[in-house]
Amino acid sequence: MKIMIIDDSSAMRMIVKRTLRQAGFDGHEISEADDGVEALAAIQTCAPDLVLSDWNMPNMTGLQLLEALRKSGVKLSFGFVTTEATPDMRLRAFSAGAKFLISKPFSPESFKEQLGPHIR
Amino acid sequence: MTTAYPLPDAPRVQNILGMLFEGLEVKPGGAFDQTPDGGAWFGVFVDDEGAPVALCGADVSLAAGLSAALSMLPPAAAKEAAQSGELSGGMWENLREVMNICTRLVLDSTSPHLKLDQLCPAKALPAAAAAILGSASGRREFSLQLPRYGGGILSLLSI
Repeated sequence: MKIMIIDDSSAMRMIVKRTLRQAGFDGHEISEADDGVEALAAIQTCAPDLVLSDWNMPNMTGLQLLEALRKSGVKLSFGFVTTEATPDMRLRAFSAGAKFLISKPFSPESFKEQLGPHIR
Repeated sequence: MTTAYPLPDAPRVQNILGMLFEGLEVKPGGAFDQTPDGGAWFGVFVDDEGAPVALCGADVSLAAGLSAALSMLPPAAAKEAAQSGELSGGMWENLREVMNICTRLVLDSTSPHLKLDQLCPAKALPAAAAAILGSASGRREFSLQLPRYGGGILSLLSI
């Protein structure tokens, strides 16, 4: 699978990649972007199957990115890895079409549980 | 005193930050220097109207240790940053992400929404954020120790 990790923190992108490996999700093609604007352009060319996106980022938030992707008809599995964990924010995420929301900080176990249905 | 935003106990700090930093030790209490020249760094959290409602402070040695440990920089980088009081670009970005995750320490499923707005040194705190230092409804300090990277005091304040 092609997996894109979007976060404005390069350290967090590294931690997400490491946690994917620790959760047993090895052997996938990983790409990265550091905000929603960069990701929106990159998705057109690298066509990921799965996106793991932060929520609060400069230029374009993760939620704005998800809405833009849905508006343009791009088909992919999209979920958040974020500190946004209130019930209201979860509702906004799932209403916009997110498949999952993983709270930061996270464990390999939470990745297994939440990403298992979406990574083949 | 009741606060609009929850303040954590030591086990919760351990639980949240321990997921980022293996081997982290957290104890309640500690003397935190919040003066403008004290060298601390603050995460400023704002409500949905953009008003500062909570602060998370890390003293200079803790800020250096957390920011170096997040991306496993050499421990010497933490020591150097603690001595100089300056954070390199990468370390600044790392500390901002740690403060972003500290959002979880001042938020629960029943509290009003808030988010990290900015990371800044004590001497550059915006006036509205600095006001919380003297008027917080609640505050808690914790002593944190990181394997290889040293430690220091974490301070959480909320309106």
